[in-house]
Amino acid sequence: MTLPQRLALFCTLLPALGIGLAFWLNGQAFPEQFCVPWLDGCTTITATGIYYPSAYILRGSLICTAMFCLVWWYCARVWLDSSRMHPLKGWMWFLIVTSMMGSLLLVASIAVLGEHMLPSSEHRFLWRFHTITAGLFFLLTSICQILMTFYMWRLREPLEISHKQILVKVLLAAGQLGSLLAFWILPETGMEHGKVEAICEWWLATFCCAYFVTAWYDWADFNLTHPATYPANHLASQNAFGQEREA
Amino acid sequence: MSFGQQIALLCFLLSMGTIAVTYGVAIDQGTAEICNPFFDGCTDITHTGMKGDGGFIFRGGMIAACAFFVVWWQIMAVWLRQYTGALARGAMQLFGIVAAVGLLVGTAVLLPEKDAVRWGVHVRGANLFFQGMLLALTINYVLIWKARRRGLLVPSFGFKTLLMLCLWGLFIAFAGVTVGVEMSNGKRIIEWWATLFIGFYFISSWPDWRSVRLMAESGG
Repeated sequence: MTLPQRLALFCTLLPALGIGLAFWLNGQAFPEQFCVPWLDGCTTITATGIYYPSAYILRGSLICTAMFCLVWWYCARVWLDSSRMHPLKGWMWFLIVTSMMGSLLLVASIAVLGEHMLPSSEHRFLWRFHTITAGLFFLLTSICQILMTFYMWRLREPLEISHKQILVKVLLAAGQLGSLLAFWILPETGMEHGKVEAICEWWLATFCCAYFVTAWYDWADFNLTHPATYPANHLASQNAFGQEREA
Repeated sequence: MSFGQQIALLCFLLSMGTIAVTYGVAIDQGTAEICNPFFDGCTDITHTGMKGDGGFIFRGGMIAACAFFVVWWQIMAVWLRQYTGALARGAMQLFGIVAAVGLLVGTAVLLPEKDAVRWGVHVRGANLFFQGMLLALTINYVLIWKARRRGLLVPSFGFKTLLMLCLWGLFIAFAGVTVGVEMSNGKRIIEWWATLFIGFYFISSWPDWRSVRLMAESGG
């Protein structure tokens, strides 16, 4: 398994296990909150990370995930860059900077979570800070994943990506777009705002997480390497990012 | 700057930068004493990153650094792959990753209120970091020494040798870098220096990893 593939796996498994374990521990302490949050919207991801010890687990797993995602986006840029589609370079930089900002926002958002935020009426600033940074993380990450799907569609021939690989990404990107739209539209239909918010958050987090692991198939031949391990045919013709040198 | 160099730089900046910023914020907010902790040992690293805004920065920054430590060990294993045995490389990676997880756990349980902190978990986590890192770095140093004899170019070998001497010097002279809840000034000084040396070891790979890059073999 290559280093980028491991990263893709970590970016999905770590948050899934962290949130899952935090949710389970929270359910042990507050049995009334035990439910299927994707359907009932009985609790938010934030709520699973307020009380200890579940807060420790959410803190450790999600901050680490944010950093792995940051490296994932770097890998994605290098990989997309290897297609040598120069007109897309500006967009790729936008993609990488925006997505990395999203990852840093997740760190900020999770670092402040804990029982010290209770009672909420006395810690309004911390709650507002958490809500804004977490909301921006979801928004920026979703926009970047949707954009990446679009670029991959355009680059499917030079990058030799099969339709099946793209299809999974398109479905997950569509799911994220749907969750974001539902977030704004459903409360207008008279549904309880808090419940809709929670359901959308769980679905959006699931789609975002799952998206990272889809790179596992794309990155089978994309690896970390140094001169001693360069394939002979690459040595003479490629530059730092695996692009061929311009004549 | 290659991928390997960026990871080495981020490991150093995130870990040492977080401690420096946290200490600065703690002094500004009056939650830590003003001194030169490398010589006075007036405070330990943990206590600079508990209260106030420094606590948020410390928890966020150090846990983030742990993720980069894991990536650093992965890169180190790839860099040494051609020159060393799989078992020794695996042991090096295992101790390195266990040390990073120890730091992660030890940092994640820190809280603003001293009485509410699970000190048992924190102390075990912090000790796991120092002891695990010492083992991993020692294996790493021996593997680099062997790889160098087989032709691997290691511009930082002299600096790495100096750092290993300093780390082992601290370990032998003071019977291990052990972290506790209430530490003596001497132990605090050792903790600050040991952390600095470990940080320097991460950045010492900067000149070595000039050509450690990500490469797409197909599609290019």
